[in-house]
Amino acid sequence: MNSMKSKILLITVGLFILGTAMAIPAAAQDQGQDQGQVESQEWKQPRFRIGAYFEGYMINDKNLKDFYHHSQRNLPGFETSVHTVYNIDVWASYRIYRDEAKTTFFEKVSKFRINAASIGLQYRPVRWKFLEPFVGAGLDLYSYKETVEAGSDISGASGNATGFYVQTGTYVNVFKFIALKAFYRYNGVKKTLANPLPDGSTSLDLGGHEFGGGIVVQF
Amino acid sequence: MKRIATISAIFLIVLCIMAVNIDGARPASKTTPQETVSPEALGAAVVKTIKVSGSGAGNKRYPGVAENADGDRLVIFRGSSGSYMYTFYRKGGSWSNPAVIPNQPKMKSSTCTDVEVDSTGRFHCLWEDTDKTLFYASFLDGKWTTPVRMSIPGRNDMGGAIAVRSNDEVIIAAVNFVKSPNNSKEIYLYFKGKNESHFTHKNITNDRESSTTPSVAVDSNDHIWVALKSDLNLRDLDLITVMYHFDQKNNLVSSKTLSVEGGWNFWPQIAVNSEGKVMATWVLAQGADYYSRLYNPKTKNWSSIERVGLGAPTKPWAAFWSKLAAHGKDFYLAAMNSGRFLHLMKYNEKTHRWTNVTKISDDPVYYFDLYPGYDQMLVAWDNDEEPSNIYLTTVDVPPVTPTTNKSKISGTVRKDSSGLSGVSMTGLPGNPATDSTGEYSAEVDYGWGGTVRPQKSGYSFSPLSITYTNVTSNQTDQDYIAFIAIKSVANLQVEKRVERGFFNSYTLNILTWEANPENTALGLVISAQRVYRKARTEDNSKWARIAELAGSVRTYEDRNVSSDSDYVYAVTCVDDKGNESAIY
Repeated sequence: MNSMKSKILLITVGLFILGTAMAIPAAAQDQGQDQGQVESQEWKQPRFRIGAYFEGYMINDKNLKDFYHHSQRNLPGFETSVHTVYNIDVWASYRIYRDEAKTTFFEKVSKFRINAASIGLQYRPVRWKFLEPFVGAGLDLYSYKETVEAGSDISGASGNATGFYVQTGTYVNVFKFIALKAFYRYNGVKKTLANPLPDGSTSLDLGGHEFGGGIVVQF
Repeated sequence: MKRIATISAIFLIVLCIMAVNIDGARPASKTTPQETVSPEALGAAVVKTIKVSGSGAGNKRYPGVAENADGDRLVIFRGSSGSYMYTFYRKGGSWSNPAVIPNQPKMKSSTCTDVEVDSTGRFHCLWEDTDKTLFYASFLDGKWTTPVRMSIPGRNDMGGAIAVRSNDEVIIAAVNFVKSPNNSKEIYLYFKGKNESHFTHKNITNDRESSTTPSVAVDSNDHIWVALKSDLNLRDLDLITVMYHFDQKNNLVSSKTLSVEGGWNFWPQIAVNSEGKVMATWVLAQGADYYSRLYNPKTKNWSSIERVGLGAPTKPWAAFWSKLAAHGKDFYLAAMNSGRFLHLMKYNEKTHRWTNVTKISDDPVYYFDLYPGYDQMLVAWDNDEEPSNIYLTTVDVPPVTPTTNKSKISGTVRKDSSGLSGVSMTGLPGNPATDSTGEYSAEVDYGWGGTVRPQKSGYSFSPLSITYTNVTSNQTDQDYIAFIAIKSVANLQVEKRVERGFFNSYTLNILTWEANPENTALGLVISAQRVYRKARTEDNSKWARIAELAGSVRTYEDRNVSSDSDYVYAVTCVDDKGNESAIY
């Protein structure tokens, strides 16, 4: 689990370094554009965006929905992006999916958590004054864990899963440094379990639909 | 010529008459070993004598004989080598060839033999290594136990007698001779329970005086009667005959001096008949006869001293032996007259006189033993003159018939060493209950059989029951131990459930129960409860304890069982003394 987190962190940092490195010539290009096109540009494109949002996560796995009795969980998320070139950003996000239910006999609390990290590219095809719609795709790097309250002999479980995501949405620039964001994202994260679930199933589908909105600081 | 013929005819007739008279006057032949019938007019008794010591050379001495309830007979005797030998007769068969009793220590010169039989038909044998010690061994189904050397503190001297209680406890009376400082001879009783291998002993005289030649008998109540000679507090050669009476617990009930006579007084004998009457006999060399006294325990009355009237050898060292036996109500005495000819005498209680039943042998006899068989008195003896052999003479007597059609079964039910009252002895006629001291008794018909099971609410008993077959004598000490019958829990329920998280789950069986109201009613303190489990298809030997819980717990979860398992459960209770209820 820790090694997975480390990998995710390394990949994220690596991508940011890559993005930052790519951002330097983009900045130089922007400066050139600034010098020549300053009159035509009403505002300067930011290089970094850091945002927080609130979303709904509609998980696919039917067994999870049956056991935890929720088809959708609302959860916070965080994202950051670095503009590289041609309105292409390196984008990353992290959010935590949580659910809980009680065991069937002793009614001990069973907690389920997904640490969902996504990293990929985001492209803003047009930049209007107020709107910057985007599309994106990339990798989903998930780790999951179930813990059961003491008093039951049920052992916990944990694991990792990888997949992909595609997303779309738009930034709404309200101030120079502040923008709002709305998005939809679909995650495809499936895993085949070595130990079958109590009902005999061996497939785990942690993917699903995400939709939400947030606020972004851009500079 | 005619006259000559007449005289010749008369002469021939006279010769013939003389011949007939001579033949008719021939004295009856002696009772020789292989003779089968003694035709002598010894009352109506049918007397048969056989030689049982085989054909080997050398002297054979000191026979002992007994018969068990199956009619099997055993004769033991000292062989010519000094070792003890035996020959066995199985009813309907023939006598075995004499053989040495196996595993026998080397002995100097053995004497003083006695044999008794217990309820299982086992022969208990005793013999003396002269003036040294006593040896005991038993015989059943053709097998001997290893002879046991009696742990006499000093050494034995002139004595050794054996008796068996109804519970097959063996009792031996022996002499402990301690030469220093005062040549004390005391009488010890030795006890060996049915399943015990060693004897315990008890000094019954404890007088530091000279006591010897004990005889022992057991009555139908398992009381012990001992007769012995003593010179307690008397001058040398002033000897008395003493009787001791002990109860079932071997406690002294009474003692009695039977005779105080000057001169040699030897071989007191004692026997108890089927009516519980006690006969004691002894030989008095000075009076050259045998004497007897009869005791009736019911009236506590001793008869006066009766003279047997047989006469006796006058030399004291030749008058050592006599043997007394009870056959049903009758008392028989085997004794030698002054010529050492052995006779069988019978006591007539109405006339208080001894009568001669039969002369056993026309040869002088040295040593002998007397045993009451079912319908014969058995006399084993050796002839005085050398070479000596062993003979068995049987004298037909009326079969023993029980004097009463009833036998008594009695005992005590105890709990924590105290008698427990109110225990119903089911199975006995009338289902008697124990009294305030925990004792019970019941009379059963002769030959009765059945299973007796003590019962009292809230109690269990050990043994659970006793089964009897063919009861023909009083059965005493039929004791039971009672303990609180702690019960297992009540209303035990089992429910199979599944405990599940999302990824993992397990099956568990939920047990619930209630306290047993019977335990509560008895005020039992339940200190623990034990949970047992087995598969439904397994037998009861497979119960396995899986948990021990506090006494107040009413539920248990048997976790992580297989989902397709089929278990059955039991929850027992343990009281504060560690008694656990039965699983099922």
